[in-house]
Amino acid sequence: MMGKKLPLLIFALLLSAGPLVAQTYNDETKEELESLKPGTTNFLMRGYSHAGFEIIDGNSSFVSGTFAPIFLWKQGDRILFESELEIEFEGDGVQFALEYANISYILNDYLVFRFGNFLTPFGAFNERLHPAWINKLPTAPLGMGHDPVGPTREFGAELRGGAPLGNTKINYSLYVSNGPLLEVHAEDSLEPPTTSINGLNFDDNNDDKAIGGRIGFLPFNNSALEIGVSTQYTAGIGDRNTEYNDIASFGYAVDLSLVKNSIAAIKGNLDLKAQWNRVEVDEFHIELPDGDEQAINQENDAYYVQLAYRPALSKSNFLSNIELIGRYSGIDLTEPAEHADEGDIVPGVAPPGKAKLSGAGLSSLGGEEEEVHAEGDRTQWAFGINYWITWRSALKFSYQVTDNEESVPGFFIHYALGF
Amino acid sequence: MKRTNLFKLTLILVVAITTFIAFGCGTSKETSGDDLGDLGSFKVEKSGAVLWGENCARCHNAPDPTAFSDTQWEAIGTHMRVRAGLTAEETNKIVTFLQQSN
Repeated sequence: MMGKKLPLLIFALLLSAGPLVAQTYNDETKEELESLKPGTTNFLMRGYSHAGFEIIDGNSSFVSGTFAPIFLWKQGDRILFESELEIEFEGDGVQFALEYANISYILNDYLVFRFGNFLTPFGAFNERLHPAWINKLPTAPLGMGHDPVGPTREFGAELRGGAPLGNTKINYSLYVSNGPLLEVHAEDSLEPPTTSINGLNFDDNNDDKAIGGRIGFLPFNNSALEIGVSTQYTAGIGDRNTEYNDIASFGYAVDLSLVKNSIAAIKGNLDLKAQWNRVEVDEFHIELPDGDEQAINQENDAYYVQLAYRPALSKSNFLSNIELIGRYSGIDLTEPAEHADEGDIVPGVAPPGKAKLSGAGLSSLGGEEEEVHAEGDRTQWAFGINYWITWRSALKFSYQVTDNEESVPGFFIHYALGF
Repeated sequence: MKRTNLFKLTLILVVAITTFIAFGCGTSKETSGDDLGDLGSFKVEKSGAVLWGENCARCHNAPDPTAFSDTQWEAIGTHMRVRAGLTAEETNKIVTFLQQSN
């Protein structure tokens, strides 16, 4: 009797234990999933790097490129912190630079408030296109890289965003910042003072703030074309309580981007980029060791046009990853002038101690009467072939010729990686 | 600006824009309002996939959805919204597409 009931008893026990086992399993799975559930804080490190080999004017060298980590902290749905470091070999050591560090707060669907240190929305190259894996050539266009005409970074507050306008679209930015900083250095009484304009005005040198912004208009429904207009004005860039306090700086830029992928007629993608920057600084005078005064007048331009073609629709995998690029760029500085009595501007040869360039703008000496180019004036042709290994890593080969008074050729092989 | 440089710049720009007009500026069939014929006045609601292709490619290659996790795409989406001036709707659609495709 018992022998017949035993299987039934075991079956009943298993049946009753099933839900218990399942419940335990579900609880464990749930706990495991809960442990994987992301919190409201979301951290991510991205960035880019490059390395390569270069021959410039006959001198060859391997170059270990920049390591530029970008840190993103997203807190909840509205707050984002972003920061970029740039770590690179410089001279005998390693140079660290904080490219930007800022906090964004999303106000609504069309507006973001951002404050801190941010890339200046002056044109498009500086803010959007400079990372090594995005810039299609190993070098930046003249006047858009480390010798910029125009501001590159701001310490300030900004409203920005984008909005649809029917079938078109706009994006916009308006900011207030410390603005550029005019520095006049008198090394000693025997040498003329040097002047420079620096964008790293993190401890504002006066009470005049820069006001600037950019409007981008995308007239096509497919966002293929964007035309941007940027400006920045600062009523005073010199140190407070000095004779240079009221020197104003005014800059503007126009940028264009035209991108169309998968064009059947040419079996590929076309990408056109162009930008023109101009910076003007009020004329001012510096006192020379001999007691004379020298007029300093700055009106500087930089520009580039770049066209790229990638046969992305080619049946060959190799060809579809190839991209051909051509670029023309230039930088025009106001001509240098000889020193003269106050009020006079005499075109001619740059005196010793002529202005250097750095940061947010260019500085040069000169008048306007004669079309003589300053030492820094250059134009450049650059041609490149990229092989895209992945969507964010490319092997770049390029050849460029930079013309000043003589032509300087350069050959580059770079490997660029975004991560 | 030196006149010859300005002339070169203008010439290159004109040639480049002409090339585009000749080959590439028509809207693609996937996104054109013309597809709606008489209903063309209605706004075309674009998918996340279309917005991903159109907006990312303005600056760089469109990213591979499998490159990042769902959570990571959230942070990247917000970052790109701020950087590229995207609207909330565009950002949400692109992030959702990337999360569903990774």
